[in-house]
Order: sequence, then structure tokens, then C-alpha cells
Amino acid sequence: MTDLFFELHARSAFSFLEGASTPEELTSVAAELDIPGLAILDRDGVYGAPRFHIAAREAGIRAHIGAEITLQGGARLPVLVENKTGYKNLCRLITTIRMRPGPQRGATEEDLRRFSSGLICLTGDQNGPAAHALRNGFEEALKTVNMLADIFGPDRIYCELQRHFDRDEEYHTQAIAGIAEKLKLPLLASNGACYALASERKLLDILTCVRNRTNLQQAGRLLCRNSERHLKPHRLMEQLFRDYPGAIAATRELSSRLEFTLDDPGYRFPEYPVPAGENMSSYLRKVTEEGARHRYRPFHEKARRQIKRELDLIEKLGMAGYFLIVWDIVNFCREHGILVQGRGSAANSAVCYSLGITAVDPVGMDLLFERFLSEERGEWPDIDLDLPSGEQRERVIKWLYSKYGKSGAAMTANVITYRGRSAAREIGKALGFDLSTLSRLSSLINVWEWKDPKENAARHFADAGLDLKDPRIKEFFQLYQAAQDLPRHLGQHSGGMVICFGQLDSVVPLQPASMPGRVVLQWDKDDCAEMGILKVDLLGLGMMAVLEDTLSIIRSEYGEEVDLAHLPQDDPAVYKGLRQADTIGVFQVESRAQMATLPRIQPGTFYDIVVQVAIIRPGPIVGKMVHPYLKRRQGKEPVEYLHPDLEPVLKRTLGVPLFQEQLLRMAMICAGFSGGEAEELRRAFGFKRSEQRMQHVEKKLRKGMTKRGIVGKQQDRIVQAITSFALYGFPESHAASFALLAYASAYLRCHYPAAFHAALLNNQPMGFYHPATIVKDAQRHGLRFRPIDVSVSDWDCTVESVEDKKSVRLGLRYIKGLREKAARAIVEARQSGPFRSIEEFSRRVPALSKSEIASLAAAGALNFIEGNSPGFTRRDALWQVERLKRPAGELLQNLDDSMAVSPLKSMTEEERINADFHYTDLTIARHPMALRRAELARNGTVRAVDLKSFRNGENVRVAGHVIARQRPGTAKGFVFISLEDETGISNIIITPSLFDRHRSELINNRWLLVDGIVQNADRVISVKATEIGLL
Amino acid sequence: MFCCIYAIDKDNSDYQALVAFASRFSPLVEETGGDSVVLDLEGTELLNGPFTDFPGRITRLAEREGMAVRAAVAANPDAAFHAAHGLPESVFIEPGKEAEYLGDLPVENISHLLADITVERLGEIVGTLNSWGISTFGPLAALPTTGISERLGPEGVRIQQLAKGKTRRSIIVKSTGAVFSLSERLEHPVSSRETLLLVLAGYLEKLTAYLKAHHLAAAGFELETRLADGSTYARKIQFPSPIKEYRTLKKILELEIEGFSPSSPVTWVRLELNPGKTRMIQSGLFTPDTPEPEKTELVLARIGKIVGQGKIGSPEVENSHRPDPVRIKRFDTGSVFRKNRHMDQSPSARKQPATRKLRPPLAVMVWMGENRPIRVQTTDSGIRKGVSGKVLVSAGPWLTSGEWWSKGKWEREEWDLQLSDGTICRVYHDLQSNRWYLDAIYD
Repeated sequence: MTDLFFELHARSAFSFLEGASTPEELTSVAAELDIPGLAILDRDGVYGAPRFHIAAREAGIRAHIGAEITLQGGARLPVLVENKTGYKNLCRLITTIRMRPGPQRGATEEDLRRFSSGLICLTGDQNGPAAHALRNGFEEALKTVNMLADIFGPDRIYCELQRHFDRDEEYHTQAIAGIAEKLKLPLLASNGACYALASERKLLDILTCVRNRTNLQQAGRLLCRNSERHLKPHRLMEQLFRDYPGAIAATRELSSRLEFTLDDPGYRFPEYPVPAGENMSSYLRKVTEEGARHRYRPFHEKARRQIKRELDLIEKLGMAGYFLIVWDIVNFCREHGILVQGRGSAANSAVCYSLGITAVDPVGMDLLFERFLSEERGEWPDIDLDLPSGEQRERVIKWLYSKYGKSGAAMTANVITYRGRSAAREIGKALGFDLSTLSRLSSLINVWEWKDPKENAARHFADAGLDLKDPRIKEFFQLYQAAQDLPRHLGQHSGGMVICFGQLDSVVPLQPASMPGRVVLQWDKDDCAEMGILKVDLLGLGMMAVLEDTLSIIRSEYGEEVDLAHLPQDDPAVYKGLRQADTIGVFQVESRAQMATLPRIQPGTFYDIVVQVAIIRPGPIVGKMVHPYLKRRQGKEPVEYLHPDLEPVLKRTLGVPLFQEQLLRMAMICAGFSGGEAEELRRAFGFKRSEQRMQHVEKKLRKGMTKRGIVGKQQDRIVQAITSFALYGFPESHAASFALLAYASAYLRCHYPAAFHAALLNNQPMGFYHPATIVKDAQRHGLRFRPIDVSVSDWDCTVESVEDKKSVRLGLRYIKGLREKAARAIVEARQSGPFRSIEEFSRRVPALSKSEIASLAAAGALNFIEGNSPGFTRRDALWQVERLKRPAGELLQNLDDSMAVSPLKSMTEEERINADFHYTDLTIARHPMALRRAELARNGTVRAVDLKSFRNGENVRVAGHVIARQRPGTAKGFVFISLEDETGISNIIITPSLFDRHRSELINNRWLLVDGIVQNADRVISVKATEIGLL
Repeated sequence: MFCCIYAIDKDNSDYQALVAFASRFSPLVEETGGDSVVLDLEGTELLNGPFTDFPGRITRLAEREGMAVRAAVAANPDAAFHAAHGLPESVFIEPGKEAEYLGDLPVENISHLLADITVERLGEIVGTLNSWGISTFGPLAALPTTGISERLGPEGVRIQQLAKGKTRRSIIVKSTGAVFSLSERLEHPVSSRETLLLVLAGYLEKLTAYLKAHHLAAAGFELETRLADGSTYARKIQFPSPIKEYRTLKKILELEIEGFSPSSPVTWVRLELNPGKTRMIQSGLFTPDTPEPEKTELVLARIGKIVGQGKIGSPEVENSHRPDPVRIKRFDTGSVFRKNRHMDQSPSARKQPATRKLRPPLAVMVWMGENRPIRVQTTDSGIRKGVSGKVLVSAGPWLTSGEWWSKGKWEREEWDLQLSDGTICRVYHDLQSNRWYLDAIYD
């Protein structure tokens, strides 16, 4: 065999701004160049290792793991993993230097000695320790290499030679060769590839500018000297190192020594401590049975059978510990009064239901367990827990840290990649564009979900006044495209928590997250899944927090105890509201599109809500399932099945497949797939689809169907239904979990409106609507809101009772710019007695800044202080507050303010509303549109509430405040706008051509006047715009 | 009485022309705000006619001269300023009726310059006024002054006075003596350089004395001449450090015009000294003595005369991978001793033999064999020594490329060669033009 060249010192984009190619790209180019093995050594990390491992496995080349370790002093030491011990040591070495506080972050000699076992080091490139030492002379370099040989062992160090046609580098190369000869160490050639192809040097230059916060013109020698740091095939490397043939041969030799692969990174899930005499499986059986007896009353045979089947499989797969640990987390939440509910496919499991992890009975709902767990899949199931967002979720995370230790638990990372406007800005800046061009370039990036096929790059650029023929603009365009999806930096995933048996930092390096005290691991959730690392998603769900807060308010203000698990089923008021699309603030069914569907579905049962949650999703829309379902639901179309055998599966959804579980069952019935095979099919057509895998599965599907006599067009239709749906389909179990929350929120909104709205306002931002819209909607339903008042308001919105009528007192949190700490100081100061005057208020709450007091005054929050004169207004408060801001000095401060009586005029209603929006973002006064109603009525503008009296096709004019603009990817360029006035919301439909004509007005204005034609079908009213004007 | 003349289209108007226009009506002109001037009209009735008609007349006159202006006459300069800027037409404001005229102007119109506060502070005060519902001068003027003082401080009171149109101040007339310039149409056109120098030396003496009287020195000079045939000759020199000695300045001026041979007699001449602060340096006890900047400047002027302007200075290495990244920077006479620190520390620089760069590089023909140069021959060396011979030893190629984003893009391949004639040299292949050059010879 010839001595092939292995590139053992490459760097990917996971060196964050120091490499310009993804691991996948490097791997694929290496395979094309017949490079049989590649080592990606990213800076202080193995961030890209899982992706590299998988890509290399598919490309058929060897993936060697390693990293460049930053040493104290700044040099970078390349190390390669030889075996499992080496991998553990590498992870712990990186963790050690990453977690070390202070500016001196690099590895010390002691760190290297501690973690050197199983690692092989190279002397490095121009940034390596040898090159650094060489600046102080040959002897220093010799000493450094000798020290490395002493740390790693003389047979575990290679003197690295790189040649990039650089005269300066050649001096270094000769010196290293001299050192190797003197110390009798082997030479090893590498090209230190930072990008896969020579053309990518430009991108690296740009990234260098971003890293150094400069631009190309100023960057000077920070940029590459030439374009030679790309992957080079054996032939070129052999020519380059003709004088050192051994250096090429050594790459093969070293590659053969590196036996470690990421097939098993060494992760073990922690064991759950069980009582004496039990093992994890037996204990799981025991607690599941206890739970099942509580959940299933009676504990019927069907449930027993399902639970036994699941437990048998869990035991067989050795996953009992996992279920017990999740059960443990749920128990912790329950014990501490934290709402928790499992979401996603876990709701398919009767064991999860019995353990209290999920709230939906999968047996009762006939859900498919295989969607959650199957023997064939051979991977951990996904259990995601929804928790109230904010502090409660933090409590759970902190508890897990304390339980499993800092090196036993960590959050998964979220790799932030170059995308959209941020990419455009950074590349534009590096190219030295001025600010106005930069903003024009950023504006080119389409924020709409819908991409108009006519809107190609040239048109976008021309629209922004930029000429694609200009070389710099052209360069920008090409670089912008090349940078898409390149990793930029590491963030923290919102909820993915990994826990490990033993040291998690031996499996993957850990590093501090930006949140103090939080540790993040170097892989994202997909990488963790690929590497067999189990994560529990602790997701903060705003609605969970709303529900929890609502229950707490009900307890304190109504003296009632509401149990979400035992809400009255089929509450007529809840379903009436749903049928009328009266759902602002209701979980999952409040969006414009949901509201347009609710009157058509006319929900009457819980399962209707499950369908409602799932139907406005890309899957049913792209798969063209929405309209057939709605027509069948309304009796306008007969219920038919793709095949008679599919009736049991599709009956609940009137013959239209809406859920992922249904497509799995369809494959099981039509093609004889097992549950696991069906799940494999779903995954093959899912997000990470590969052509080859899809073809293979489709072939198998067709074969199975043919065997069962399903052939021809019928087969095609079923295959089409299954495959098109796999990509976006929504799991029925997940929809059911969400439907429970939707029902609960609708119930509380309906029966405890004050408590629900107070909680909803305390958990903003969330959902589809701005607080101003939520308040206006609640007011239309008769709920009273009370203004912010420093004498009464807490930080949060609260519920007050006046003559048995509940109202919501707005909280201080709604004063813009008021810090929570300052607001809490107001509440605390109030405990010692009411405020007597604004001046006394200001003295008693010294934590308030001048601007905060002014904002309180302008928002009317100081109007009700006891000592204020009758008819005291915001302007009076502002007049007084301004004097407080200028202390009179000790001598004069106790003198009466001769000018305390304000000479200012009171605010008009319009001014008050403006001030409300300016200082609190909402108003409890009249809607601004009400002020102009008389004038609008004169020009024929009708109110939203009056639209229902118009016949389909009638011309109409409406006006209002734009509260939502959408251009969904599935709507062929149509734009949907929600206009709010004092009576409600009008839904406006804008055709693509009208949008093109009024693009600027529609995007940049918040108050619109719309002429159009009423569309009134199936109790859903909208206005198809024909002309757009400004108010 | 005062008149403010405001250039309506300030972006397209020549401010100096406006100042010159205003100066025709009063010797006391204040340049206010970059877009207007304020004139003190006291005692100009005979010249300008009745003040009541003055604003209209001024506007018409300016229009005739191609300037769009608005004018306002009032009893104080600030009221005139605000009226000219804010009111729709030119106006005469009767004394005592300022508040009446200004009442509807938005408070945003108040000039921060007249209020003597920063734009940011004015913005804050206007924000407060707006929150009080005060949006125009009138309601602001009506507020109790004590209340304003307690809340907005003296700045607020000043602003209120401006809103009332009741301020009192004198206009600030720009001193004309600040320009150290002399120009003259020569009574007898000068044909010889020597005579011209005599004229200029006289100017220089006066200007230097003038500068000295202002405790200033010359940071540079501008010389401008017009010749009888309509042509002009101009020189502009900036010194690294200001010079106050007449003799030194005269010598530098003499050297500068030495190369000037007038093609026809000089009819007009202007000499202007740019003022700079006099040099006051207390050298450190251990700082080595440097030559006097005046003398160094003189020497530089002498050398520059010989080698040509722009060819004298200190070489400066540019921050670029571009080959030969050196530019000539004018000597900074104050920091000659700091320069030695910036030496090329690259390994190759330490190991390289002395290199004689050829500037510009010499075109050569290079024959290649097995991807390496095998023979080199100078095509046309002119007066310079060329090279020719077989390549005995070669090292390379060394590749550099850069500035791919601009027209300055370069890409080249360098070789170090030992030739059969004994020369060790560096040649490069310019990949953009596909030409070979002899770049340097190693000693």
C-alpha cells in the first residue's frame, strides 16, 4: 500500500470564526480527494465532533477526534485522541481550562501532565508551542519540544511540519525538522486546513475580521497571506514534502494508532437508587402499578395489558432508570407546588401516564405507544416536561444540579449559526460598507415566512438600490450565501438538561454558560441524541406559568381550590367560546388562523380541541388535509377512506389523516410494518431526510402494500399521504397534551376572568397578542381594570374585589423603565403606612430614580396618593415630580413649595391615552379608535363588530390598529392583517398584488384604513382588501 | 434693533456669501448657528431706511442675488433669530410684542446655542415640557418663572426668556484679525523670482510679527500668485511643528519658490500663514537631544528640493501582506527616536541577507522546467544592472495574494534563485498580468 496522506490537523467552523467549513463539508471534500482519514482539531472544543463522526461514517473515511488546546501564554497545542482514556482526558482537560475563572484560561504544564494519558500531541503550526518558543531562539524551542516529549512520552509526540508556500514559515519548518533530528522524534506533515476549498479563504478572511472587530481594509496582516490552507490530496502533499517523505508516511502510521471513535463516547445514564430488595425494573413496576390504580378507576384490563407490554419493553431495553428519574423530577415538582406536564410522544405511554409524567390517557385515547418507544429504534425515548416559565423552572434546574453535581449535569448547547440579518450585517461590516448601505443590506433579508418566487436576489438588491454588478455587492452576496448556517458561537438551549452517571465532563467538555452558575455542554440536542446521550427537556411554557399563577390567585382571592386534573369536562361555556372563536389568551387556539377555523370545526368535545390544536400546522396545510376535514366536518363532503382497512385508524378524523400516529398505523395496516418500522419510516421522511433512506423505505412500503393487494393509484395515494405528512405531521399525543392546556386556559378565562387575565398579563410576553389587545378584549367581556397606583399596585397585576365584583389592578411591572427592585421598594415602603404626598413618597422610596418617578407620574400612578388635592391630575403630579428631581438643598428643603399648585392644564383624553401607551404600552381607557369614531362614521367606516351584519360580497370600509401581520409560508404570498378597533378585531386579507402595490404602507404603518369586500362564510368574517389607506 | 437673516435652503447655500451680503448693511455681523447671521442695525437707519421695511427689502434683495432668505427685525437678537427661523415670512416685530409673534412657535425651535446648553440637555427639557403639555413658546412663556426655576434650573429660565423674546445681549462679532493673510494686486508686475521674494519677504516679516503678537507660530503657509497671462502658481506647505522664526520661514519660502520661473509677470500675490501654537517642550532629563525642528525642517526642505517633493520622509511599513508594503511618510521631527522600535521581527527578516530591492522591479524572462525556473534573463534593464543566467538553486514558490475585495487585488508567486552568474536574487511572477519581474538582489 502506498503511503497515503491523512490530514491530521484540520480546523472546522466550530473553532468559531477561525475555520470556514463545516465538519460535513471538510469530510465530503476529504472523501473526494481520497484522503482516507481526517482529524478536526477545533479550538478548545469538540463541538463539531458528533457531526464530523457521522459525516465521516457516511463518507467512509476515518474521523479522528482531537482539539487545539490553548496554553497559558497563548500557544495552541494540537492533541489527538488515541483511546477511550485519551478521550476522557481531552474532555476533562478542556473542561478544566474552560471552567477556570479569571483571564488566565489556558492549560498549565500541570494540567497537561494530569490529562496527557491516551493523548498524542503535535508540536503545532505557527501558533503552536514550538513556534512560539522559536521566537526566543532555537534552544528555547528545543526545550519546549523536549518538555512536551516528557509530558506526553517520546512516542506520543510528532514534530509537525506545515508548508503553505510561505517564506517565513519555511524557517519554522527547517527549525522543527532540526529539533526532530536532535531529539530523535518523528516528523509529521499536515496542511493545517482551515477550510475545505481554496475559494473559501475569502470567507475565512471575513470571519477573521468579525473575530477581531475590524474590516478587511484595516485587518492587514491578520488576514491570510494566501489561499493555501485548504484540504490537499496526497499528490500535492507528497510534492510539498518531497524532502521529508517520512513526514507523509507518519500520517498513516499515526492514524492507525488512533483507535478511538465516537461510536461510544462513554455515556451512562445515572442509576436510580431503589429500596433494598428491589432493582430498578421491579421498582418501576411497583410505582407504575400504584400510579395506575390511582389514574385508572377502575384499573381495567386494557390498561393493565398496555402497561405490562410497555414495562416489559422498558425492562428489555434497560430503560427503567430513565423513567424513574423523570418520575423523580415530576415528584419534586409536585411536592414543591410546581405545575408540570409531559408533552410530545411521551403522552403515548401508559407508563408515563401512570407515573404522573403526562396527563393524557393513551389507552382511553387509543394512542400509539410505538411512536414513543420501540425495540427497533434502539435509542432513548424523548420525554419533554413543560414547566412554568421563569423562576419555577429555574428551581427544578437548580435542584437537578444539586442532585447530580456540577460535573454530572449540564444544559445542552445551542449552536448559534449565521443566519439572516445578523449575517448580513457582520459580512457587510467586514467588507467596510457604510452604515446606510449596511441597513439597506440587512433590509434585504426577508423576514416573512413566505418567499415569493419572483423575489430573487437581483430584484431584492435592485429594490434596495444596490447593484449586483458592483463587485463589492456581488462579493457580499456570495459571501452571505456561503456563511449561511456556519456556526458563530455557542449559546444555551432553552431547556435540554443532560444528566450522567459519573463524570459528564468525561463524555463531553463542559463550559460556563452566559447565565451565572450555569454549565453548558459542547453539543447541541441533536448531537446528544446522535451520541446516545439522554436529555430531559425542561421547557418553560408561558401558559403553564399562567395556569399556576391563576390557580394561586383563585386560592387567595376567591378562596377556592381548582384542580386542573379535575376540571369539569364538556363545560358548555368553554365550548361556546371556542365555537365563537372567542379565544384571545387561550393556549394554542388564539391565533388568527385558529380563530378562522374554530367556527368551522365547531368544537363540542375534547377530541375536537385536539384536532383544532393539530390542524393549523404545516403538515395538514401542505398535505392539503385541512379543507377536506373541514368540509367533512360540516357535512359538505362524504367521509371516505383511502382504503377500507384504514377506517379504524382514520375514523376519528373523518377519513383524513391529521396525526403522525395515524400515518404509522397506516403503514402498519397497509404494508404490514411493525411499530418500530413505521417509526423508522416517519424518521426517514422527517427533517433529517436523506434521498437514499427515503427511497429505501418507500420501496419497502410499496412492497408491503403490494403484498396486501393495495396497488396502482390507491397505493400511490396512500404512499403520498404517508410520505408528505411525515415531515410536518403533529403527534396526536402532543396535540392531546396541548389540548388539555387549551381547555384549562379556556375554562379559567371563562370562569375566573380576573384571575386569568391578571396571570396572563404577569407572564407577558407570550402568545399571539400584545397586552394592550388582551386588556381591550377582556374589557369587552365586562372585566374591569384598575389603573396603576403606587398606593395599591404590586409589582404584578392583582385581583381586587369591590362589592363582590372582581377586577384586575394593573401592576407596577407595566410602567416602562421601572426596575423590579425599585417597584418592590415602593410596595415595602407602603407597609409602614400610606403615602401622604408625592414629596413624602419620593423620600420614603429612595431607590427610585428621577426618570422612574417621572414615568410613574406620567402614567397616572401618583394620582391617588392620599394627600393629593381633589381632582389631582397627572400634570399636577408631573409638575411636582419635576421639582423633586432638583433638590433644594438642606436650607430650603423644608420650606413649602409655593408653586405646588400646578399651572399646567390637565391632559385631554387623547393625551392621557397617548401617555398610557407611551409609559405602559397599554390603556384601560377608551380605545384610541373610539376617539375618532364619529369622524370615521362620516366617511362610511364601519366598526369590527358591525361586520357580521354585512352580506358576503358587500363592499365595506374598516379601520384600526394593526395588531398582527402575517405572510405564512403556506398561503401563496397572501398577507393577513388583524385590525383592532374599540369593538373587536377585523381580519383583513391582502392579495399578493395589492401587497406589492402597498408594501411600504403595510409594513411601516400601524393605523390603516382598508376598503374591501366582506367574505362571510361559515360564520367566519373577513375583509378582502381592495384598497389600502392610512389613518 | 437687530435683524436676523436666515438661509432657508441651508444645504444649498453659500454661508460665506450670506455673511458678505449681510456685511453690506451693517459692520456688526454675528455668524449665528451656521445658517443665519444677526446684524446690529443701530445707527444704520440712514443707510438702510426704516426698520419696518427692512426685512422685506432684505428678502427681495437676497432673492435678486440668488439667495432664498427670511429676515426678522426685533429689539433683541434672539427674538429676531427665532422669528427668522420659525415664522413663515419675513417680519418686523414691534418692541414689546415679541411674545405675541413668537407664541405659536414649537418649543423644539428653541436654539440650544442661544440657550447655551447642549443639544441633549435641550432635548431633555423639551421632553419635560412636552410631558407638561407645553408644545409652543406661548404657554412656556406663561408659566411662572419661579416654578420653572425650581424645576428646570437656570437653563429652564433661560429657555423661558427666549420663549418670551425678552433676552438681552450684544451680538458677538467675529474678529477679522484672526486671519494672518496679506494679498495685493502689484502696482508694478514682477518678472523675476528675486523681486518676488523681496515682496514676499516683506509680507512674511509683517505676518510673523503679527503672529508673535498673538503668541502664535506658523504651522504652515499658503502662497498664491496670479500671472499676467492668466495662469496661477500656488504652494501650500504644512510644518510638522510650528515655526516662529522669521529667518527660518524666509529660508523655507525661498527654497520653495526656487524652482518657480514665472512665464509672465506676477500681477497679484497672496501669502497666508496658518497659525499654530508655539512650541513649548520640556525635554526629559534622560531624553537624548533632538535637532531643533526648525533646522530639521530647513534641511528637509533643502533635500526635498533636490530629490523632489514626496520623496523625502521616513519609510513606514504598512500593515499588509502586500509585497514591499512600504510608503514614505513625512518626517515627524518630534519622534525620530521612537522609530527604531518598529523593526521587522519575522524569522525570515532575521535570517535574510541584506536585500537590494529594485524599485520599480525589472521585467525579466523566465524559462520553466518541472514547474521551477531554470533560466532567467533581463529583457531591458536600461541603466540598471540586469541579471542573466541558468538557475543553479531555487527556493519557492512563495505565494502571496490579497485585497481580493478591491481593485488593489494582487496575487504573485516568488522564487529565490541562485544564478550561474553568481547572482542570488528574487524573481516573481505577477499572476494578474502573467509577467515575471526581478524583485531584489541578495547581497
